[in-house]
Amino acid sequence: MLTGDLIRGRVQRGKLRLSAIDPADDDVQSLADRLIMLFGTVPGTRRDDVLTSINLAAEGPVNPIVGRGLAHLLWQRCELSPPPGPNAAKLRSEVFRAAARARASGIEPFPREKILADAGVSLGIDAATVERALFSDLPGEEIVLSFEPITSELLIRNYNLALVQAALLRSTRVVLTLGRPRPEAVRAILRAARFHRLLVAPRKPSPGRLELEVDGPANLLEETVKHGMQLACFAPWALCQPKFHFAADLLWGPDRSPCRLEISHQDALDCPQPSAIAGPSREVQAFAALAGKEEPDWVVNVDAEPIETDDGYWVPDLHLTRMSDQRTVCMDIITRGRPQTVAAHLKRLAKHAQVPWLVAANRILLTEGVPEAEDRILPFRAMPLPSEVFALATSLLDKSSRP
Amino acid sequence: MAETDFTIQFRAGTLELRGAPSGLTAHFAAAVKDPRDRSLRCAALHYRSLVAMLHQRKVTHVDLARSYAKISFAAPEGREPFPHQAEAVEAWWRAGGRGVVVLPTGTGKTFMAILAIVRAGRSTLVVAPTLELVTQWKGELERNLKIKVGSVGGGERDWQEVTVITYDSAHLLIDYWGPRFGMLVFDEAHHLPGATYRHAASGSIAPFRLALTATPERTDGGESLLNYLVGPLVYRREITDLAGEYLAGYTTERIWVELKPEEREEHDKARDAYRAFVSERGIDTSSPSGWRDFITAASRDPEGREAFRAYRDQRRIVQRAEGKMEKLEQLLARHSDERILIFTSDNATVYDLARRFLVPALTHRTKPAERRDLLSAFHSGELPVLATSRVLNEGVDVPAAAIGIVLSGSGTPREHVQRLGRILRRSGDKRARLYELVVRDSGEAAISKRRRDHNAYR
Repeated sequence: MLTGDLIRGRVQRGKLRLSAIDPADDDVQSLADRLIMLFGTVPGTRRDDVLTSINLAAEGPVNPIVGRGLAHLLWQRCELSPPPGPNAAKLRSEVFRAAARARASGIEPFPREKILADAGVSLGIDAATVERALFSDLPGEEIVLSFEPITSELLIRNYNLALVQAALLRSTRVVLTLGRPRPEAVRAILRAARFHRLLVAPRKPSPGRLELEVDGPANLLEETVKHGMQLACFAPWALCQPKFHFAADLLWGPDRSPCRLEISHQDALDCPQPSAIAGPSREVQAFAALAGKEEPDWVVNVDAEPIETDDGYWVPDLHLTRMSDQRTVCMDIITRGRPQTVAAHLKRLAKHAQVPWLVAANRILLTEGVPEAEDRILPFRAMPLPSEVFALATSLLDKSSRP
Repeated sequence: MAETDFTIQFRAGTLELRGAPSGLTAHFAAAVKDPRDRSLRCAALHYRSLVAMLHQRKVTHVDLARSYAKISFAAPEGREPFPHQAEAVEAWWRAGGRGVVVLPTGTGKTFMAILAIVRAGRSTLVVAPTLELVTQWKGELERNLKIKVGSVGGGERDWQEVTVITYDSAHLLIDYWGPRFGMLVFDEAHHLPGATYRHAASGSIAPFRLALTATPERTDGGESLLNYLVGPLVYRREITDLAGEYLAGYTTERIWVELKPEEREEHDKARDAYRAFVSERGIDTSSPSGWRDFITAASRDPEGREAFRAYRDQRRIVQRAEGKMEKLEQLLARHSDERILIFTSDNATVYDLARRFLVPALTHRTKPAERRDLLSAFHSGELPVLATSRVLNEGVDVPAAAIGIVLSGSGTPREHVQRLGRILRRSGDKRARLYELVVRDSGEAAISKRRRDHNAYR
């Protein structure tokens, strides 16, 4: 992801135009090639020396912020380590104190070389090495151990994605519309959203279209950074769709002025394919592990599959199956979000879900009353208790089986 | 407690008003409807005026926000305040326990604040810009108030009824401390109006607030925000009012330095290239937007980038001119029995000096344990010279320092006054000296003129 100072874009008439780079641009391609080639040679080099080389390699017709952005992404592929050698702080203390004593005694000329050489005697190093080692604990002195190679094509794609991701960290709301998505695409994108802990409302506004609305981090009161990072990780899933429209309301710049970022497949923004989904969130996995141990009569399945509802889809976090009658309750665990969005989600499930369901939610997110879903909500502080979840699931199944 | 649904709750630097009687906003314009959760909300800063209004209008409410305590601090013993300290506390108290006090460095702002803390008698948070200052404040507060004082910042998390915190941590941890302190003290308060730091003031409910600074003026005019965040200017004294009696006597000396012939050639070439670009593009570098205009133009094309590099080159040559190094060597020898602070404008020069003259470097990179060691050795005289860029510009108490050598710096009088302030604290019968090394016939001459535009140099 790019930092704020590396984002290139301008707001015109309330719309943010990000300055993505064109992979077909020879100058950009050449810059990316030069930087990758440079990073390929840096293992064993000091960080400061690499920075100097980057400045030289980045010279040319391309805007220097692009060069810095590409280098920023390449740094993320490097492993760094402090240089070997004596403890720098201890060495400094010794050398500077010896120098202070020499200065106070009025020795002329100031015996700089002798002080450095004396400090090196016990360490078995010469004066020049002592001088170099004095500040070897500064970040600029770190040595690059390794660099994970990348092609220039992928680097440029990563840059464009990183631009969008950086913008999304400032969003209040994101709406993704997909035109005629294939069923496997629907499944993949809904699961990706769910696994990234995003509370989406997937709707079918018209036949053949799927719309997903997500709160942006700037619309939350808590856990905004975590939510923003998850939204950023979700972005490639949206941008790789063959037919999509992506609209994000943003608070932009130091004044946090409202503006909108719109991207569609027609923009041909060249982004990388998303990486494989890691799987259910830690919270869901932790609950499933605990619940599996505690209640042998229930089987907990974390392999979330989209379920069709009257108005769209729902991807529950868990399927709880009671072994005695093989009946299932679908469940969500909601740990963060906006109280209003949580309430809207509950109302939607109450109205449209066609399967038995329940929602466990952090109690601070349940400030909005939802009477129609009251008997299906389980508030928790840190994590839902399996015993309470299964008690509620049992009561829901029992109720639904009554004539 | 009367039964009411109207609650005031602290949340993320704001006050959430739920169940407020209709028409409340007519009397309290700061509260606005928050579309995120449909509550009425205002910055926590308005707590004092909100509660005052509710009491005045006899509106029953449940205050779930206030979590700070009333405390009876023992008055500091064995030390009489200076007249200017007593006057400042009185002026601040008369203004309702809110406001800005401007006093030169070394005239006892800390002790004045301690008197104000005792007067307010509330849990207190002191906000300071650096870890050195946090440590310094903690020591002074514990010595004078005879209580355990907490400190937060640099990995430390020790919250007490009186706590000292860095601006960075104050801004990051506002959710935690916002409702827990009834009195705030902002040290070096010229930092407070910054876009991020201001939230440390707006996100707290503290009704008592004191801002301390020697130099409130900011180049962006942000000082006007202090009135909103803390209160009005209630007391002000300048260096010239207090020098000699409450501050050490001092002299300032500007030393002109010549560039070596090869440096001059390289410098002039770079300066001409930079000037040609500026003139060609019609950029007025003396205008308030001059620097921004230059950066914008320089980032547009290769020619601009070349000009920017030329600008940087001529600056680097001047900042690290060999003549300055020779002069510095002479000054170090001349004042070998005194404590010397060397100031530069950048860390790279600090480390160059440290390697060349074998003097300790103190920058933002210096780890806390080493900082403490360096400052303590400086006080004791074991390490009588410190090279620094900006870390020691403000606040840090180095009373032994008698000589300041400015190798390079910005053109703002604020920085220069702060640097002068480092050596002015009274210590025995010392007479302070501030040397300013300036390269003749370079951009530094104008910078030097600008930074001396303060009555302390007249």
